[in-house]
Amino acid sequence: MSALIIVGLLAVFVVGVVLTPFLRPRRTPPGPQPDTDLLALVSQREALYQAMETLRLEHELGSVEDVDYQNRLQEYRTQAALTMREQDDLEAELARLEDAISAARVRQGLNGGPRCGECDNPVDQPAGRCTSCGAEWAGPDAITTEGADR
Amino acid sequence: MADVGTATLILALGLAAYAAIASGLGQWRRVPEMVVSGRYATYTLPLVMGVSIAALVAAFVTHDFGIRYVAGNSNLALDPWLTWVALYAGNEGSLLFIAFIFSVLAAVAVWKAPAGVRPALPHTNVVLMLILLFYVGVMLTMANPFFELAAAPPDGQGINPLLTHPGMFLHPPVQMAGLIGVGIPFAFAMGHLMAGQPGDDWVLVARTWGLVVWAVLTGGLLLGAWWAYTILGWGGYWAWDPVENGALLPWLPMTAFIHSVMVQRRRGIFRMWNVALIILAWGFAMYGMFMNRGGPIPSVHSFGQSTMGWIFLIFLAVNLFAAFALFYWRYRMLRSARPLDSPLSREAAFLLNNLLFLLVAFVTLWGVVYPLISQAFQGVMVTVGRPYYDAIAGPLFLALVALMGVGPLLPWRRASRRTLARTLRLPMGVALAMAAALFVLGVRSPIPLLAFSVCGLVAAGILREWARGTRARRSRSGESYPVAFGRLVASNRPRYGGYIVHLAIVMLAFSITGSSFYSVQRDFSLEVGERAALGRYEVEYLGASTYPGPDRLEQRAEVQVYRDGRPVYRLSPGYVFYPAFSMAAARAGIRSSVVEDVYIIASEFSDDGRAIFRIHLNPLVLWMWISGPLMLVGTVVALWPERARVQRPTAGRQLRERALASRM
Repeated sequence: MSALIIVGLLAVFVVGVVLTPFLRPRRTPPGPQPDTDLLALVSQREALYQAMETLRLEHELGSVEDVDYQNRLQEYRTQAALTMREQDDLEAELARLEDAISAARVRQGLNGGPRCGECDNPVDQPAGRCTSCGAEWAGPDAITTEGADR
Repeated sequence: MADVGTATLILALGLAAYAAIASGLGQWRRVPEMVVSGRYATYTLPLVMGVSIAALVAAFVTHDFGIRYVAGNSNLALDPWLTWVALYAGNEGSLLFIAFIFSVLAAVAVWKAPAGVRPALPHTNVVLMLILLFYVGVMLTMANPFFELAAAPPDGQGINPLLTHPGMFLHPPVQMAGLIGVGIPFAFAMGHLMAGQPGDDWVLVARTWGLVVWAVLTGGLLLGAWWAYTILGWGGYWAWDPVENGALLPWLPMTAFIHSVMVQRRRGIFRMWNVALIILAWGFAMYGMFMNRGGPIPSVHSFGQSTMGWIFLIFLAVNLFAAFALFYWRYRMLRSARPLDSPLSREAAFLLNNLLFLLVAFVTLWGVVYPLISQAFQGVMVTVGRPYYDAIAGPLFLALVALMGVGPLLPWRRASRRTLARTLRLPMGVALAMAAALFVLGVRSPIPLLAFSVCGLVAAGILREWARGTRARRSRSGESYPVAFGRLVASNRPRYGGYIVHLAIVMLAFSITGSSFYSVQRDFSLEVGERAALGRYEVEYLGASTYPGPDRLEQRAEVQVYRDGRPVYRLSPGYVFYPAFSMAAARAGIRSSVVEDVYIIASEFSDDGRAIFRIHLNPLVLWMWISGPLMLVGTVVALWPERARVQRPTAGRQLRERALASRM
């Protein structure tokens, strides 16, 4: 009997943990997923920094001659600069895309309207309670909304 | 306890299946809650498996002989501290132990996965959970550690006497953890392929786990060698036994992998190599499991009663097929970003490193499978012994040690012949001087002469790098030598941690060369008071005593050892006989020094008062045991996290942050 209780409690606990993502209210909208191309560029940049440090060490240890060292260092610097520029361009493009998406959502009324101060879900109720999380909501005048000025 | 154990295994099976399905389906259908739920299921598995293991431990502690596994691996006379060994002494318990360890490793791997591999993490989790699903499924269907007997016997059978050696507290759990741990970097590699994620981020996390697993595998091998040396009573530490080879096989591609991933990280090449190496390492790890559990070739290391080998063979085949199918599917993604710059470069050295390790692996594998092939085709099982491995694997290992000395001295991309010659001058000089000195001292055989010289070359190269690096740093910073050296290591941890490991490998090679070529042994039959001479030593037999125990009969001889005519110490060789197992285990009398081991076995005590002794003189063996902790130190240094680089905001990042701020 005690064995069943132990296992039962354990099962209830793990099932509860596993179901948590479905049950908890979403407090904030999920942030943008890390862009894989951007991650690859960051990784590439790190690898170049490491390569430059290793080259400097190898030069100090006498494994690389002066002329070779200067040439390769310049090569790495050029590659790092290109990678950083590519990263900048990609980040700027991502920012512009996010702005455009946000503006489109506002125009279509998806972002507009009042939002709950607790869980940030859109609500269109008169003053009362948020239907998502049940928090008290003092009405549309009490909250600054996105798209309210359209 | 049996109910708790079985129920938790069923719960674990369900959780692992759910985690795999939720992660895969959630990623495919873009339902983030499902993906997170799958991850959470992975996090709960160590708890569930932990309760299962605790149930088995409780069964041992309470002598619940109604459980077949407890009855078969313990008895009322079992020392409590042996409960830990009894846990994994048998097939079923070891499977439970392996599943528990893997559940912990998988949870940590998923929890601590860096940002770079997050997009592929759901796929990685699928692979991890499918592996765990297999082990839990095998336990529930074929090898349940909680299987109950119809009637509980009054006492158990007891534990295998060979497992009561202190080495058994560490060797099997470490070895098993290493073998199953290979699944972690394998899962990251497969996750990367399944996700089709560009970039080489997965190699960072795979390298970290690869180093950890490599260190554990190395520890398992060395501990096993130590156990064999001290308890099997034949004076050696490695017999090229099929199960020993099964443990060595994954270590070989794993060693190549942890080096080769550095090239991918640094240069964007060797992508196909690294995926192939980790697949092979995992395949060999599963092959080791197969050999240990009902494999076709008997071994002192096997779970002799198991007949489950076939299910592990099928699992191995499925894994290899799926992995290589993924490899073929993502072939284009794995093409190298650029060609090799020069054959005289560190990249080329790593390429040669990969080839040599694979060659050794296939030579070893051939030695393991040849008996089966000969039986299948010729009707007779031809065993492959030590001469085959010494003749073929020996030179390959020596070539690897030599490469270990030259490779780190080569720069990345390309080396000029002039700088290479300058860099190698000192190590070559030391090697030649060492060879000359050894020749003068009487070492005339070419192979040990060459091997010792290569060890000298490698050690000199490493010390030269340390000295030059320290001097260069000191000239820049004005620090004292010790501080400069410490900061040099701290600022280049992977490199200098690797050097420490290489130094440990040199010790290992030094030890193996000395003990393989210069061990001597002789048998003596002595009366009480009689002496025998071997080399500088004399051994005097003082007498024997018998110690009966509840489950054993122990006989020990007392011998006085003299060196150069002077008494130095006493040893107590003997053996223990276990009637319940009809087995005798040797207790060697061993005295180690940095020069040589005196190793005495008392193999027979006759009624007329005589005893038969086998006396070994094994040179340099102690260096093998010293190399283990040093390898661990080097691995920890190599793995120690470096300070995160501070990122200055780029123009694009500033633009994005301004856009985010304007929306708040």
